[in-house]
Amino acid sequence: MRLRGIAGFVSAGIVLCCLLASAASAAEANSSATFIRSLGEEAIAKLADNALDERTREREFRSLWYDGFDLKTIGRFLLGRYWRRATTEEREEFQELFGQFVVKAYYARLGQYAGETLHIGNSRTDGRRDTIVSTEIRAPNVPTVRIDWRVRERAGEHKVIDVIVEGLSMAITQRDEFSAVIQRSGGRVEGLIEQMRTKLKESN
Amino acid sequence: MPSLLSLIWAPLVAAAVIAVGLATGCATPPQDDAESKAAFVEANDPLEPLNRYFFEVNFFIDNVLLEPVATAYAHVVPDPGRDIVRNFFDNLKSPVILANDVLQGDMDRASVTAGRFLANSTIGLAGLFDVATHFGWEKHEEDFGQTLGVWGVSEGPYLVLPIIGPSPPRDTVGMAVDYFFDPLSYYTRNTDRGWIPYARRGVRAVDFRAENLEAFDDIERTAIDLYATVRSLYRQRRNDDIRNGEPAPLVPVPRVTIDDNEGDGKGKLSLRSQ
Repeated sequence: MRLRGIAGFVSAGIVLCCLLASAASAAEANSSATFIRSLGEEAIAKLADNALDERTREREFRSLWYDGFDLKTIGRFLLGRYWRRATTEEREEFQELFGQFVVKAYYARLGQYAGETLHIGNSRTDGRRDTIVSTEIRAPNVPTVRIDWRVRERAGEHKVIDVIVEGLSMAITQRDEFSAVIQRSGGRVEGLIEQMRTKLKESN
Repeated sequence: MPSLLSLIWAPLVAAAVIAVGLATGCATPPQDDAESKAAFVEANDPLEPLNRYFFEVNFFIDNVLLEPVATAYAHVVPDPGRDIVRNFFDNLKSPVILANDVLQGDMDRASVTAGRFLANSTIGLAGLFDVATHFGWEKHEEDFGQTLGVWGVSEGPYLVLPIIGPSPPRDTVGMAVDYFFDPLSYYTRNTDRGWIPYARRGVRAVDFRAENLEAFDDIERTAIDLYATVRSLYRQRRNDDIRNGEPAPLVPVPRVTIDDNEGDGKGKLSLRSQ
C-alpha cells in the first residue's frame, strides 16, 4: 500500500512535470509565433508600400534585418569551426561584411509587393531555446511558398536565427559556401573576407 | 529521370571518373590543420576537382543553350500553354512515382498517384489538364533515389555528371532503376523510338529552367562560390524530397555559452552542440 502510494506519487509527479514542461514550451512556441507574425506584418507594412523610393525601401529592409535577426549567433554559425581561429578583427569585419552582404543579396530578391500574405502554421520547440515557426507565403496566381523560421529567445527577446525556404536553410547554405571558400583559401578566414569585399564592390 | 543514355553513361562516366580521378582529379585531403581536415570530411566530395570541372562544363552548356532556350520558351509560350506541356510530361511519369510510393510503403500517396493518373489520363485528356488537383489529389514527385533514401541508404560522395548535373551514387543508381519502372522505356525500346525518353528529358529540363529563371539568376549573382552553393542546395533539396517536405530533424546550432569578450579565444568561448 505504501509502495503503491509512493509509486503513485512519483508517477503523478512525472505527469505533472511533463504537463508543466509542455505548457512552458507551448507558451514559448506561442510567443515565437507571435513574434514571427508581428515581424511579417511589419515587413509587409514597411515593404509593401510600392510608392516608397528604392533608398527608403532598402533602409527599411536593413532595419528589419538588424532588429529581427540575431546577427551574432548567425555570424558564429556561418563561420562554424573557423570562428575559433578567426582573430577579433576578422570576426568583427566578417560580421560587418555579412550584414551588408545579406542586405545586398536578399534585398535584391524582394520583388515588388504583389499581395503576398503570411500564414502562421505550427510551431515546434527543440526542447531548449529554439522554436521553429512554420509559415506559408500565399499570393494570387503563384504557388504557395513554405517558410520555416528558427527563432531563439534570449533574455525575453526573440530573434530569427535561420530562415528555411522550401526545406532549404539559408544558414546552412551560407555556412557550407563560406566553409568551402575558406578551405580553398588555405584555411584563412581572411581569404573569405577578401572575397566578400570583392563581391560587395561588384554589386555596388 | 531515367533514360537509356544515362544507363550507358553511368558505367562509362564512372570509369572515366575513376581513371581521371586517380590521375589528377582526386582532392588531396588537407594535411595542415584540424579545421581544414574536418571541413574536407564534412564536404564529402573526394572528387571535387573533377566535379568542379564538370560543373563548369554544365554551367557553360546552360549559358549557351539551356538558359537561352528556356528564356525564349518562357517568353513565347504563355503560362497556360506551359502548364499543358508540364501536365502532359508529369502525367507520363506517374507510373514511376507510383512504383516508388509503393516501395516506400506510402499507400496514401500511392493511391493519390494512381487516382491522378486515371483522372488526368481520361478526363484530363491524356494528361494535358491536371484535373486531379481540383479533386484534392495534389501532385508530388518520387524517384528511386528518394526510395533508397527512405530505406536508409546514404547519398554517397558528391558527384557531378556531364549534362545530367549533380548525381551522387544513390541518385545515379536511382535514375537507372527508374528507367525500368517506366512503361514508356519498354514501349520506346520495342518500337525503335529510343529518342522519346531523351526528348522528354530535354523538354522537362527546358520547362524546369524556364520556371526558375529568376531563382537561378539570384543564386548566380549572389554566390561567392557557386559550385559549393549548388552542392549544399542539392543535398538539402534531396533531403527535403526524401522527407516529403516534413520538418527536418533539428540540426544542432552551436551555442555560445560564455562570450569571448577578450577575443583571445582561449578557453572562454565554448561552442557546444545541443
